[in-house]
Amino acid sequence: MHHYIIKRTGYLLLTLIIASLFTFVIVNAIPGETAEILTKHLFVGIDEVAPPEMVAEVASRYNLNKPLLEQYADWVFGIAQGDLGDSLLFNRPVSKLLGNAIPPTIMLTAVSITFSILIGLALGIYSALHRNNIADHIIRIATIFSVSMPGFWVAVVLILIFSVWLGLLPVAGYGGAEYIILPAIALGLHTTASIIRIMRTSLLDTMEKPFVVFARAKGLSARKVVFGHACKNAFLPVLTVIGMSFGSLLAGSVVIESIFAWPGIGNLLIKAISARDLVLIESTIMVIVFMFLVVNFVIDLLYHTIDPRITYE
Amino acid sequence: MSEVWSPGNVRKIYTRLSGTDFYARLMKRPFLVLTVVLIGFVLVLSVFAPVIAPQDPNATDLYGKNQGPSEEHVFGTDYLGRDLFSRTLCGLQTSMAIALTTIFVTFFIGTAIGCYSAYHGGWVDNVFARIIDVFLAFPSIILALALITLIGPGIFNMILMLAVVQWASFARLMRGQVLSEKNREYVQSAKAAGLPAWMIMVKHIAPNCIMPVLILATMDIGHTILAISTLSFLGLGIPPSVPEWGSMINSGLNYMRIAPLNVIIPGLAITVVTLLFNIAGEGLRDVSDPNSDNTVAL
Repeated sequence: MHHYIIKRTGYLLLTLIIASLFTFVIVNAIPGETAEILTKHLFVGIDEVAPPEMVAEVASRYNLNKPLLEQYADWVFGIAQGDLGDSLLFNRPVSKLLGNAIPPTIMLTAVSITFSILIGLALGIYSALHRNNIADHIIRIATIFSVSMPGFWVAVVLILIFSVWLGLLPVAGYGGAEYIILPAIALGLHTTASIIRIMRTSLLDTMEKPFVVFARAKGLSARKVVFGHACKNAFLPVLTVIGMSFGSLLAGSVVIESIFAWPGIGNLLIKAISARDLVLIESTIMVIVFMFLVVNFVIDLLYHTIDPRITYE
Repeated sequence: MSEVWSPGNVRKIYTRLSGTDFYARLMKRPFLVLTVVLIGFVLVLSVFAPVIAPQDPNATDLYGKNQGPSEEHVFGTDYLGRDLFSRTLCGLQTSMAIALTTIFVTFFIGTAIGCYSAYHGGWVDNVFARIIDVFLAFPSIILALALITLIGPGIFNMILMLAVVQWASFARLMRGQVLSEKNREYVQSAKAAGLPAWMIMVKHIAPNCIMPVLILATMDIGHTILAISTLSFLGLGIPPSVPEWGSMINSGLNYMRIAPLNVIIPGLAITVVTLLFNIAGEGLRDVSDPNSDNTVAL
């Protein structure tokens, strides 16, 4: 087990390094004269001619005169020292901007995934136990519809119904509990549907296993069999789906946050991309990738806790 | 969905698919057959969309902006007075064209890399495996957004970007397939016969490994349609002049109080088309694996 953790941590670090190199190259390898394009984007407009002295200033501001590898090294050393550079768009340190943006995103994602898990497990178990009756059919139709709807459209329709037509909830913004309801639903719908589906399939699978049949045969109540024996074993595939969902939640938050003007990382990333604020873009992407990798790392280790039969060799 | 697409599972599907009772089982599911027919209908509709559309999707009418449904405009008009029905119909063409091209390109690149990597083995395979891992470690839309910064919006760039984002899952699947296939006797004898490596890969190994990847490609179409509309909604995909569902919803946002159909109809279109491909994909999987019980039982 310890051996596995060490190996897995090394692997995590390696992936992070490659991912950072990758992000850096993508963001910085703009075709053509980087500094000139940046100047046009930031100051004079894309169709205008950029004055040379302005281009020179941008180049020195972004350290674009150095070779790419040296720029990368500077960036990584900066990260190690907690200095991520300054955002040109906001004219503030990137670390401050990220520090302000991370808590709202974590809050939104946490609320969203908590409700997805609770509702997903409940409906999934219910659906499996009432296989092929009318409620089961309705749940299954609803889930396949949910995974086919684009998240941003769900958000727009929710705003239309609950904010514009009914006037019950605020259209957008950040503050009290009423602000988080719509974004959390829009963000979590896909995940909820995936959890319902996988929980249902997995539980139906488990219910046919010999140990469940044995538990029934020795006279345990249905409740004890389902919740004491079957569910725990059926949960493992669900855990995998939750881990994968976390990635899609982080990705989905980019869109959902910008629709609801939620002051999180996703919103920050979209603003940075529209303004071509390179320093901000690369750091924001790295933060998202980092969160995603760490969550999957933790979930990987959780497998063993949930199912001691799994060994990591 | 990828839990379904573990190499072992997919191999099982392939074995079932190549079985003779595949069509018999398919015909036992009239709903699935109907879905496939509907997909055919959608494809035909997308090809002939500009011909069928009652009005020019880009003809503006500044005196008839944001109107409700009427005899002339079945779904009403948008903020520039363009016919919503015609735009939605032509949006189908945009989505299908981009989605199918993307899947085609992705399929080709992913399969080629996966096949080459596994066949070559050794350090080449190690390097490619690591690269595939890194691509899969990025949440896909984040990678797409990073690439947008690099290459800018546009139809061609969007296809390129989606291909870069998605090739890795195809490559991983193909790699796993080839790894399990490359030590079989027929490969050995092809090698012994002195065939060049590319010919062994293309003519002998690939045909035996390709089916699961083809199924993955079918399943991925719905996913790609969602990705296209999401990027366009963010204003990072397709130029506004081209009718596209995501950008139609985005431009309808400011007027949704007075013309709600402009945000509802394109979204419904996305949902219906994606739904068709999802149902078909899952049905195909179920038909090939009778033990699984995942689809809507209709």
